Amino acid sequence: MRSRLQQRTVTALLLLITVSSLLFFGYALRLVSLVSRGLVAHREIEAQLRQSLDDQRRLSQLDPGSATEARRRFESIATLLRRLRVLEITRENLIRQTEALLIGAVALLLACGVAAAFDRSSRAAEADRRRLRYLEHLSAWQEAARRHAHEIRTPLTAIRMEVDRLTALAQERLPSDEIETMRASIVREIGHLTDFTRNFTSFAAIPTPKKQRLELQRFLAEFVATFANAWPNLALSVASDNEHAVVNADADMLRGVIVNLASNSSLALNGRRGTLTLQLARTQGAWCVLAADDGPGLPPMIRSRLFEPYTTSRGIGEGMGLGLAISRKVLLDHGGDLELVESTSRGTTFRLTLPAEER
Amino acid sequence: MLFDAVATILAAWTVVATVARTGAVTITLPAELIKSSVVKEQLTSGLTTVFIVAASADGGRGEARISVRYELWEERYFVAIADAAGQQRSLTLASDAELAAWWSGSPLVVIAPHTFAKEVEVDIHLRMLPFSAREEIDAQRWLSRTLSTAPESTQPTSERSAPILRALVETSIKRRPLLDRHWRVRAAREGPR
Repeated sequence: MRSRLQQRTVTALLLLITVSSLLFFGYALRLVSLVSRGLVAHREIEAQLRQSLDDQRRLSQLDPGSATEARRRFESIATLLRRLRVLEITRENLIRQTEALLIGAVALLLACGVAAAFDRSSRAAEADRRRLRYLEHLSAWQEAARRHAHEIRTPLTAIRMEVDRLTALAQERLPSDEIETMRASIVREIGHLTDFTRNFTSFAAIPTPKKQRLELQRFLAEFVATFANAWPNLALSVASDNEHAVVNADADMLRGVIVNLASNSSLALNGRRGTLTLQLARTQGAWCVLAADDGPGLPPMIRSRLFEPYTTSRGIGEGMGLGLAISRKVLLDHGGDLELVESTSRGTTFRLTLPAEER
Repeated sequence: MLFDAVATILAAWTVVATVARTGAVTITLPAELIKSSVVKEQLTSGLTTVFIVAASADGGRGEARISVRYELWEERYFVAIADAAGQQRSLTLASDAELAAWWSGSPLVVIAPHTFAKEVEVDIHLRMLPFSAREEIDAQRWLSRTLSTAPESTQPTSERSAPILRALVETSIKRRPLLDRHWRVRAAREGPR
């Protein structure tokens, strides 16, 4: 962003210098023209002056008595002619310099336009490359998750069947309530493992969005109304009012993304009361939803890896760290993105970007 | 006029350079240059046309000046030469033909005596200034006086604007070259007499 500001400052300075130079030369040209206009420009008048020179010379030859006076008048006319010639040369120089400056200014404007367009397309291309690298990376993680889920799910099914058989056998020999306690404990742990694999599965098989026309302002207002009490320590609000924000998106998946962000904000507050504000903003060809909380901020060590799978600030057993990876994948599948805008001790802001509806 | 200007730019004027027995580099300039319409028009204006020839070769550098003024009353050329060896001379030429003959027939010292190899590459830069420094000052003063009394001036000249006006005039009327040419020629050593 700093380099863009520097580029704009340099361009503005160059334009200012060019315009000032143009004004200077234009004014100088006008001054010179004030005197030379009608005199130098008229070749007839120059010819008349030269004729006068010839007349004075001839006069001095015909009337030697007036030679001195003729010579004096001759020198006077010759001096005027020389001065006018200097003026004419100056005027031509000024015109050439003004033209060169004009051409330079046009070329500069064109170059700035081309440079700006090139800069925009390079940045867009770089952003696309980053997204592509992330998606390729994510795809590898998803494949690993799929295999883990499969490897764990199969033995779990077998274990559950065996537990049922053992229960039936043991009930013939041991008190039934003791067996029931043991059975319930084993089934509970199997349940935990099953939930664990379900997370892998949901990450591995993120569905393709079913996009429909979605008015973002209304969507956010409904979200805030529906989930107002979902997180007791988190107050939700919408800070913008833009009826024109329309995108093509899967409302359920988008809702899931904002739920994930809100859950994270609520957990980060660690029992304190806080707020999550949703705000709409427009960028080139896209609509953004800024989700800003007033929590303690993200630990610095995870910010650079925030959207990678299994990245979490919580302890072991308190979450797998797949929520943001899934959320970002959802936005990327919509042709948009999910980015961390800033995270300080005063709060964290995420930006959800969605392409604007094409009319 | 445009055709003449283009022809001047495209003209393949040839310069001949020699390393004299003294070790100085001399050049002879082409007659076509002094006869070209752009130069001729300038010469006959009555202003002092100044030709500055700068040269460099193998560590040696120098500059020569030729001032040509056509005296309108006497209808002859007054030429003043200051060469790179510090020699100054002047001469009077009665016609265009004499001027052209002198121009292309008189070697001009452009680098003072120096130790050169047998053959040396010489870079030559010729500029033609349309008027002398004295004529420049005269025109600046005259224009400043004229503007402060010009009836078409939209604003009277005040004490505050006079320095600005003077600065504008002094920066506008400047001796910028009407002709600017470069050559790179091989200078052979002059043979023994």
